[in-house]
This record gives sequence, structure tokens and C-alpha cells, in this order.
Amino acid sequence: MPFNDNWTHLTNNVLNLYLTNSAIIGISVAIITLLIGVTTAWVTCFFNFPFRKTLSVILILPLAMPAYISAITYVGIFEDSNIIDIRNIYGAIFLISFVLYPYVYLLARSSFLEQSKEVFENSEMLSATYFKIFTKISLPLARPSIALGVTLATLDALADYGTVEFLGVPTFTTGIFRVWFGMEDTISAAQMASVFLTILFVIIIFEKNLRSKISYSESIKHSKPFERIEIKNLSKLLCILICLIPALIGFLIPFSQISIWAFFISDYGWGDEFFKIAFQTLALASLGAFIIIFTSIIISFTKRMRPDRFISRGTEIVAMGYAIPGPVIAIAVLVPLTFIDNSFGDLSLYFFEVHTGQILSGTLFTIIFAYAIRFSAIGIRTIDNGLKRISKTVDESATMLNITERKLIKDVHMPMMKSSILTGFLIIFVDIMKELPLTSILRPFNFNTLSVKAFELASDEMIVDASNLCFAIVLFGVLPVILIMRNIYGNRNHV
Amino acid sequence: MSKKLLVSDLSLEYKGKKGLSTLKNITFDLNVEEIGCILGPSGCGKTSLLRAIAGLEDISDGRIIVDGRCISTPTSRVPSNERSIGMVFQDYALFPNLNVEKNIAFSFNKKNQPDSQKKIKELLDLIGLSGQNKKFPHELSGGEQQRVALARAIANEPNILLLDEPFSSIDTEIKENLIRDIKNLLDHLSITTLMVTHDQYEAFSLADTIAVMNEGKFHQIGSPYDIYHEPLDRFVADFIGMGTFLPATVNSHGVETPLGTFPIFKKDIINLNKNQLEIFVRPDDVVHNDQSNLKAIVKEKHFRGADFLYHLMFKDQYELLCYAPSHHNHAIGESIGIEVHMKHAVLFEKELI
Repeated sequence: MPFNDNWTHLTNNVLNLYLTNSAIIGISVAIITLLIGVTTAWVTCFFNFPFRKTLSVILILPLAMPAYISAITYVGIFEDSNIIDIRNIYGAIFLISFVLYPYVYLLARSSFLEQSKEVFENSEMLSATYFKIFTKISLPLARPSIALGVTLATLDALADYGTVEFLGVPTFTTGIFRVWFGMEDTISAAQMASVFLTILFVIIIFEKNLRSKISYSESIKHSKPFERIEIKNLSKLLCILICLIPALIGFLIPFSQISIWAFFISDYGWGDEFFKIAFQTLALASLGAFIIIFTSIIISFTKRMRPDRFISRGTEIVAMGYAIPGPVIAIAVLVPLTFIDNSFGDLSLYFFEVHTGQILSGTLFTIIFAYAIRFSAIGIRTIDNGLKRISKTVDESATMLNITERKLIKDVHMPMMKSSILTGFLIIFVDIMKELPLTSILRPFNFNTLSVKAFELASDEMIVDASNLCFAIVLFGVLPVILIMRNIYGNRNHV
Repeated sequence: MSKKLLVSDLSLEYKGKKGLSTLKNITFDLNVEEIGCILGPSGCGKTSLLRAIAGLEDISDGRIIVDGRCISTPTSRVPSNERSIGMVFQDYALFPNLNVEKNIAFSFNKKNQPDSQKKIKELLDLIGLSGQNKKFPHELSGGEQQRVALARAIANEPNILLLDEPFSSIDTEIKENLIRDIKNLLDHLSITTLMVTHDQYEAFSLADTIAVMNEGKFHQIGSPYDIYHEPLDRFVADFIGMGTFLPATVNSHGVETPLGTFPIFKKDIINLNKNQLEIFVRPDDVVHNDQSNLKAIVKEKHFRGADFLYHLMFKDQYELLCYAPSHHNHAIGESIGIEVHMKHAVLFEKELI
């Protein structure tokens, strides 16, 4: 496809700005989430201080807070103040980092906890200092996990649309959107999307190599927890602050503010419109999650029962969908679908003199297809992990017993997969509910979701009125977080 | 006697790596009701062999024949489910969400088991788990899980039973009893069985015939007694039990060694270089006797409860091993009397270092 005038204009003027802003956000978020995530994980794993258990749970909560809702809330809070202005790139970095650090925290933490007690006791007997043990042993051992956490946070930050759009920071993601709709130039937007995809691809490959090079063998699972280090009172206070501040900024403050607005101040209230939108959102999210988890089950089971290089490579590519920003996926979906619609319409007009209009684009099909691109990775990963817990020899012994695959799947696999399927469904459900750019571009006419409406109201300077919708989104968002907590803390006797 | 299982000239290659083979020219057979055992160190390819017989791996050369019917060649393989082979996996592979009864009866249908309740009861009685039919796998001990897996594998009366490292996850203290139970069970069932293990004592207690395997090749096939007393090569001699090597020469009287002269046992002695030989001496060839004039000096001693294992130095240069009853407690450095009870000489060519 040739580059047109818009492209020349773009490269000359704004493309640099978009790229620079995206890069600054990506790198800064990587550094900040790394610092917050590792510090909080280190403190909660190795030191003993009051409220440690509670704080280690609260630290996960920001996962339930979409960055754009955090941005909406903080803009509302600081609206009348002239001291702090967060409508700039620093505000975006700050807010995004404080909702994304739990990725790093969770992965670093579970890696720290897996490290064997013996390693620490041994190091202690060799009279190494705690700081030395942490920097020379714990941290290097946890490096692959931490790298994964930072990558997830960075990719999420690069894909962000709502926050930067709301705070008025032009980035690649919002740029594509602007070129596409503002300038009505699909070609340039698609070209930008390709550039962006190439960069993402490089990041993902880089991270994969980084991890494969330093993949330490899983340490032996320890039965007893290691002794947490006793510290002085002042240090205890410091530990509490270290854990409390990220949770406050990332979740507690914005959620409290949203609740106060929603229940005491907002004029929007819990009326018919709210329930209509809430219902539409839940219906869309349920349908999407159902279809995606259903196809994930088919893909994962095919991978297990009919191992094939083509399928496993294919799933690796599908898994990258999670990193692709909404506007990019929207282009990827709309361009071919519109083409099909138009071709079909032309044919129909030519042969039957009938206007078909939009058959695929602008329907539920389009939006769910787009969700599938973005969220299939979650579904497949969850189902795969569940299946991994069922030993391969179980399948083999069923074969030896002349048991059909259908019976094996129905009576053994499925009953054992219930919780994985439910978990996958729930995570996708909530992700669709929170999703903003894809939904706002691809939703059928007259179809509204909580996220789209909330963003619309907030953009029209009706932040307080948006609070009811935001409240509902965050409340649902807490569901999978509870699941994550249960997975982490339910099975362990040592929190 | 009729052959139940015949494996001839079988080779198996690593997946995706042509030329690198896990199994090389394996040939052996099992008679009806025979219990065979593949014995070898971990990674020697014994499980691959078992899986090939089960139809879970493709073979690259040779064939596998059961009851005169060819079930595997490099180009065709009868599917696992049509082979009538029962298999107990190393991890037992019980269906975790089904109870004992349902695990055993999972393959039952009206055609193969018209009276499934009766069959289940029979099997549970057989494995000594009657009344435990509603328990789930995680509520059973390792030994009980193993027996459920065994009952499940034999429920439809397969032609051949395969056991993959059946005792690898069983605690040592109860292993001996379990092995005895399983031995009785297999004898009672009269089913042709092939097991795989790295543990020679399991092999000795269960098998009629043992094949010793290393690096994808068979080194020796024979009865447990023969494998121990007449190892065909150094690997078998080293891998099974203990022993030491002493220099030996062959002359018209027999085999001359520092311990004396012994009759030649091996028929293929002609092939050996007669001046560069070594005799293999087991600890049970050397018997401790305080009255004996033949003396050796104690270098090391290992208390093993019922007996001592002594490392002895004979004529200042030859190492010997010797079991002595526990109350013959001699100090290190002491000179003790020994007698050599060797029925035959096991000779190998001297290893050139």
C-alpha cells in the first residue's frame, strides 16, 4: 500500500511525538512498576510487621481498578485545585504505574515464596547479611518472574487508550484512533498499526529470550515457611507505609471517592438508564466470555489430544493478541469485514438490485470477533494450565483401556476442569466489561456499555455523574481479584 | 512352550532426531505366564521399550508380535486400545475424580462385562481392598493406589500386563511386603507380565527372566541367578551386586588367580586374550573363617545389621569384598581368615585404561 500525503504529514509532524510519548510511558511504567512491585513483594515476604497479611492482600486490589477510571477519578479530585495538574504525561505514567504494579508484585512474591527455606538457612549459616541474601540469591532467582511481570505491565501500558486519551496525552494508540476517525484515513492508521505491531513483536521476542536464557530450574517446594525477619519498630512503620501507599493510590483513594460520588453526590443515580446499560454490558460480556472460553476449550483440548506443531505455533500467535491495543485490533477487524460487506453488497446490488448494507461490520459478530482476538490468550492459557494438572498418563491409560476420547473428556477431563473453565470465564468476562477502545469503536449502533458510557460522561466533564457506572465496573473487577487471592492464599498455609 | 510376546530386532529413534536412537536392535521373547523384567539404570530406554509394546511409541525398525499377531512395524501399528494389553503406569494414572470402583469399572460396558458389580467385587477381593470401593484415589496409600491401578489394568483380562517402575514411589519399609503381595497376585492371575525397573532387588524378587539394559541395548538375558552369578560383560557385573576384579591367566589346569586355581566356566573363553584376563569375585565367593590360614587385612567395614561388609586387602595388593555374620566384629587393620568358595570363574578381558 503506498504511503499517502497524510502519512508524510504524520511522519513529519506528529508521529515522532506519538512514538516518543509511547516510549516514555512504556519505559517509565516498566521502571516504576518494577520498583514498587519488587519492594512490596520483598517487604511482605521477608519481614514481620503488623497487618502484614492484610496489606499483602490489599496490595493486589489495584488490579480491579482500570487505569482510565483511576484517571477520571483523580482528575475529578484535583479539578478545583491549582496546585496539582495531572492532565499530562507525568500524571498518566503515575496513574498507570500505580494500577499495574500488582503484576510485578504477584509474580515476584510467588517466586520469593517458592524459594526454599534451606537456601536461606544455608546462607544464614554462612553468615551472609539479609541484604546480601536478597540481592545475591532471592532477586536473581526471581528474575524470570519479575521480567514477566514487568513485560505484562509495560505491554498493558502501551496498549492503554482510555487514560492517555482522558489526560490528553497523544500516544501511538490514541494517534491511530485520531488518524482513523479524525482524518478518516484508514490506510495511514493501518500503517501506524503495523509499525506498532512490529515494536510489540520485538518486545515480546526480547522478553521471551531474556526469560529462556535465565530460566532457573524450579526450586524444591518447601514444606515449612522460612522464618520472617524480626525488625525494629521504626522499620515496622516503614514497612507498613511501603505497602499502604501503593494500595492507597492505586485503589483505596479512587474507589472511596467513586463510592462517595456515586452514593451521595451524583445526579445520575441508579435509574433505568443505569440498569439498561448494566444489563447490556453484562449480556455482552457473558456472551463474549462464553464464546471465547468455548473456543479456548476446543483449542486447548485439540492441542492435548492431537499434538501438532501447526496448532501450537498458531496458539502462540493467538496469545500475542493480548498485547495488541484496542484500536489496532479494531482496524484489523473492520477493514476486512467492511471489504467483505462492500463486495457482498456490490454483488447483491448488481445481481438482485438489493441493498444489503452492513451484514458483518457493526454487528455483535464484529465486536465479539475482536474480543476473541484480544482475550483468547487468557482463555487458552487458563484451560491449558488446568489441563496440565491432569497427567498425560491418565490419557494414555484410558487409551489402553479402550475408552473413547469422548468418554474420557466427559467423565474425567471436564469434571476436573470445572474450576479452570469458571476462572477463565470470569477473567474474560470482567476484561470485556472493563474494555474501552474496542467496545467504543465496534459496538453495534445504540448499544452502550458501562465503560463506554462512563468515559463518555467523564469526557463531557460530568465526572461525578460517571461515578455510578465506574463503581459498577470496579465492583465487578474485584471478582477475579478475589479469585486470584483465593488461588494464592487458599492453598498455602503460610501467607 | 508357546511364545506370548516376541520382540525382534526392534529399534526406536528419538522424536525429531533421526539417527539418534533410544533403542537398538532389541530382541527377546516371553513365554505364556512368564514374568519378564527389563532392568537398567534410569534413562537407558527401558520405559520407551515398554511404551512401544503398549503402542504408545512408534518404532523405527523391527517388529512386535503378540500371540502370533504382528502389532508393530515401522510402517504400521495396531492402536493401543486394540492390543489387549494392560498397563500400570509409574504414577498409576488413576482418574483422580473417580472413586476406586469407578476407576476399575471405567472401561466396562454391557458387552465386555455383563455383570459388572460381580466383577468389581471379585477384583476388589483380589487386591484386598474390599469395602473401600467408594474411596477416592487421594484417600488411598501409594500401595493401595498401585493395586487399584493393577486391578483396572487386568479388569478386562488382557493378553499381557505391563508394569512401569511399579515400586518407584513406594517407601522402602513397606516395599518388601508389597512386592511379595504383587508376586502372589501375578502368580495367581497367571498372566504374562513385563515390568521395567532400575532396582535389581525388585527384579530378583518378581521376575522369571531378566534382561539387563544400558544405553538402549540389551547386555544379557537370563534368570536372576544367572544374571548375578554369570554376568556376560563388565556392565552387568558392575550394575548387578558388588564385586572386585583380580588378575587371572588361563593354563591347562584352569584359571590361575592370586586366590588359587579355578575351573574354566565360560565356553567362549577362546575368544578372550589369555594373557590379559581378570576374574570377577563376588563378596559371597569370599567366606570369612577365623580358622583359615588364608589371611586378608580389613581396610574398611560397613555394619549392615545382620552382617558386615568388609573391604579386604589380600596379599597387599588385591581388593576383596566379604560378607561376615554380624557378631564377627573385626577392627580395621586386623588380619582375618578367609576361604574362597568359587564354583566357577567369571572372566573378562582386562580393561585397558
